[in-house]
Amino acid sequence: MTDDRQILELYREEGKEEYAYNLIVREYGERLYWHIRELVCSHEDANDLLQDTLIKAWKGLPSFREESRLYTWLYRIATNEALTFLKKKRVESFLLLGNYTSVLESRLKAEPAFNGDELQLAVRREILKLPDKQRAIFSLRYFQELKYEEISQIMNTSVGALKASYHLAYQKIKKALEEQF
Amino acid sequence: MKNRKEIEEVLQKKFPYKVPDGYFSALEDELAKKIKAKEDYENNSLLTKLKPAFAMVATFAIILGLGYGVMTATKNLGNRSYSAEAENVIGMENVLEEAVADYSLIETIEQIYYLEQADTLSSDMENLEEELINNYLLSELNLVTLLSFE
Repeated sequence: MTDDRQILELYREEGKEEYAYNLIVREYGERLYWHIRELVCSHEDANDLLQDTLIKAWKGLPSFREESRLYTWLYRIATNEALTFLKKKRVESFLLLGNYTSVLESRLKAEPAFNGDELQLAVRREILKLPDKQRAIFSLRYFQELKYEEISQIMNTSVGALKASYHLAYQKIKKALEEQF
Repeated sequence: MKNRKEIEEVLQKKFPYKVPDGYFSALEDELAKKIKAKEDYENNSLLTKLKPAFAMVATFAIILGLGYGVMTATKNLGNRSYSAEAENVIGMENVLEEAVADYSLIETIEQIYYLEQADTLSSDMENLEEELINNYLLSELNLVTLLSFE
């Protein structure tokens, strides 16, 4: 595992930019993919958004001033990309008198991993009912296991507000499951 | 679920979604290709080549626009000052007209009378001057002078 600082030092060495960038992709590509996939559900969309995220990171690296850590910066780009994508899709669905949450639910149902596991599917369906920003917070805290301070940098929200949002999401999911099972 | 305490017991943290085989190992190469293609496109695109020309045209357009704006503004300012002066003149004329309009008929006749008197006085002055000149000339005449005329 390579440290962020080492990667950035390498990136600043002449002729080693591409090598350093590949290290970033190797180190964070998969984690970023899963975070995006949790939000958009489909592989195709997650792949497009991950590539956009990493291309933006390549373009933004020369001006990266290390005011935040490299991986929180990458997570911020990925989260913004995913939330912008979802916002656009929700508007499109609304204009076509549809509901994008049901589109995401249908993708969940089509996922072979959930075949027969009703409880697992029900939990994820409840997560999908959360507002997108709250879902992103839940994903960063629960699945990515990031600290609130790190999520605060990614989401540009106070730690207190994040804790409240996560707690509310958690209780909402728990309550829904208790009612169902 | 009622018997279970927390979501952690149900919701697995491991990602259950399916991903195409070898997706993550191919990601680096795929990205490198995409970045290269994007950079090539940006460097060779017509828009990139025409960027300096667009910048120049935009600069000229801004200069022309500013020039036109300044000229229009100055022109309007000149018109405004002229019209202001014209308004002043009209205003003065109105004041005179109003002043004349304030005179009654009797006052007007009196004005005319004073003017005529003034004319009479000036004609008397002319007669008076003529007399003085004649007297002066006659008083200076003597015999020698009268003889010299002959």
